Amino acid sequence: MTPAYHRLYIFTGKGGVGKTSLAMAFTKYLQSKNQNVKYNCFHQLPEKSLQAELHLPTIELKLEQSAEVYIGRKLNSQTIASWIMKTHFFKSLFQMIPGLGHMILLGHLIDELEKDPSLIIVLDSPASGHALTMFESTSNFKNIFKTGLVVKDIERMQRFLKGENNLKTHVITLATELSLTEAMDLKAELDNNLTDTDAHTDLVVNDSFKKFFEKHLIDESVLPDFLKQKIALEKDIVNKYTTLPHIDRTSPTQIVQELSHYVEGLV
Amino acid sequence: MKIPLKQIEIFAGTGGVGKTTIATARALSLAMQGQKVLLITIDPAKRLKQILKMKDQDDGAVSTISLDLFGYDKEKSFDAMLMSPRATLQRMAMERNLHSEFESDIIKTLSRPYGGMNEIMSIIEVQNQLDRNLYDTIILDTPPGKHFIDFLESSEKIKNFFDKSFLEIFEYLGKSISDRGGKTKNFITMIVSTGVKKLLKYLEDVTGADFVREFIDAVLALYKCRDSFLRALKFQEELKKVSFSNWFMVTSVEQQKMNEAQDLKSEASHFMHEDHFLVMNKCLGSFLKDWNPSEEALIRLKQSMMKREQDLQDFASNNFSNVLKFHEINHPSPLEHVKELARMFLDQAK
Repeated sequence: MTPAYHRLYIFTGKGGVGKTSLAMAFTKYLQSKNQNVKYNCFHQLPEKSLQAELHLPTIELKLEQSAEVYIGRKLNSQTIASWIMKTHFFKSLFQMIPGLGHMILLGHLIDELEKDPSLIIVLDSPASGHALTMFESTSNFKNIFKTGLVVKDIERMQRFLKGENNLKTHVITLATELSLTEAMDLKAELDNNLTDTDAHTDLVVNDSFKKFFEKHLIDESVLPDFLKQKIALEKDIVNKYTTLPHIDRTSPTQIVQELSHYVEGLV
Repeated sequence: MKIPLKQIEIFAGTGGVGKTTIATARALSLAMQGQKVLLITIDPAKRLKQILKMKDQDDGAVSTISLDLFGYDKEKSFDAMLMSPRATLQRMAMERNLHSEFESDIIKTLSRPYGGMNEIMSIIEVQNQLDRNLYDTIILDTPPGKHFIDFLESSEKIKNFFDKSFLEIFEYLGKSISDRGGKTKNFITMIVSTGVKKLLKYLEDVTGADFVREFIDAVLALYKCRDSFLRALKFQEELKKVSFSNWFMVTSVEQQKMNEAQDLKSEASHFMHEDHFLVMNKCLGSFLKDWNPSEEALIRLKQSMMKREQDLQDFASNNFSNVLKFHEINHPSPLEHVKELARMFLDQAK
């Protein structure tokens, strides 16, 4: 039986919790299952060399081009779109309102998903506040624009995001209470912004030392104090949620490759 | 290594490295030495709030944190503020009696914490706090990574916004705008007659007609505050002076993000001076040197930990003139993290 995959996977969370590694590992996992999957680094600088070393299938969108294509589609003319994008008015609009760009990028990705029903996109979202920006921006701009093509499009995007089995959001956290508290806050805000249910959003605990020692059958009593303290901090968190072990590698490529063996649960 | 006292201290770095905690610890260490300190955080995750037990309604307001909270001299304190774009904007509006004009949906939405005006409003707030002249040092905790660059570039955006796009329309229309006040229908009519008619027509197809009207309204309101925006530009120039600012780039051993830190440093180099500090947070070296594991998995674990730290150390000494090493703290309470890091800051001074 083939597992039912979602169409769009979003990896988000506080900075430094391992979103990029996990999103890449998950893309590698889906690739190994022969899925038509693409990794998208959203509004961040792509890590080109790492992507190449991993042979990662990617979909890259540049904001200004993406906006031009998007507006062109709405107006049925790329010429007028490129003209509009060159005006000071629109340039200023983009510079002053970064959320507008996020919304257009998300809209463009959803376009791609609707065009190709076999496609799966793994979105590596910038640090937490800005994943919220992305979702908030759809409803924000609906309030701002009220009518017109953009609002019609926002409604289409929201329909897609709420559609059954379309979206899965993973909020990544480290195995500490502080990190988990913030992740839970973010999850609540995302649920609140996206839908009325929490069916779309899961918490994932990353980089657990407790899990690492379990995996290697290490008796905790042989560990030095600083590691015992680390594990004590993880005690109440690990295994309550999907938990991934610490990876004792130093090269990012190896980390992603090894992680890809543990991410099946995120499907 | 002694860290000189400056009017402004900026903490920047990639996400999750402990920037907010370290900036708070720095504020505590300066307050312990009797300095008058204001800590401003524009990190939307609001960890500072948890640490300092601040409530939501404190957003945008300055509150005084007694060192009592940390178990130290209760006569001493430092001030802290959670950046709220909305509060800063409201202050600007009040100063100019523009309150009703700032009630538009567009401005309200834009000035929400994730609405997009965070960076621009922060730079204005810092300038405002500098003008009040109450503090020996203002410590700034900046948003992570790329958004830190947005923060620095915000003044440039302000300049472009007023200089290039709208200024020409406003200048063309001249005095008539101020005469007519908020009557935007007339304003629209005038713009249409200036030859941007076609553009607006297309724009209205995309965004709806009301939006164009309301957006111009909102821009007019902001335009009336342009003095505050343009005055904040001064801040950016001042930042480049060694005598004025300390720059701290924060990194963490557990994260292998040297590329990101390198990018951040080179992008920020237009804005900062060369006498900067690199903070290596969560160092394990002092714990690892006394640990001699016998199990194979643990030997590998130790090696990988040592290598991560060495890689960051190499990066640090190759790229930064001053390096501060702080060891990892494994304690459930964030308050203890702040205290321990403050102690490490004080040790640097010895």
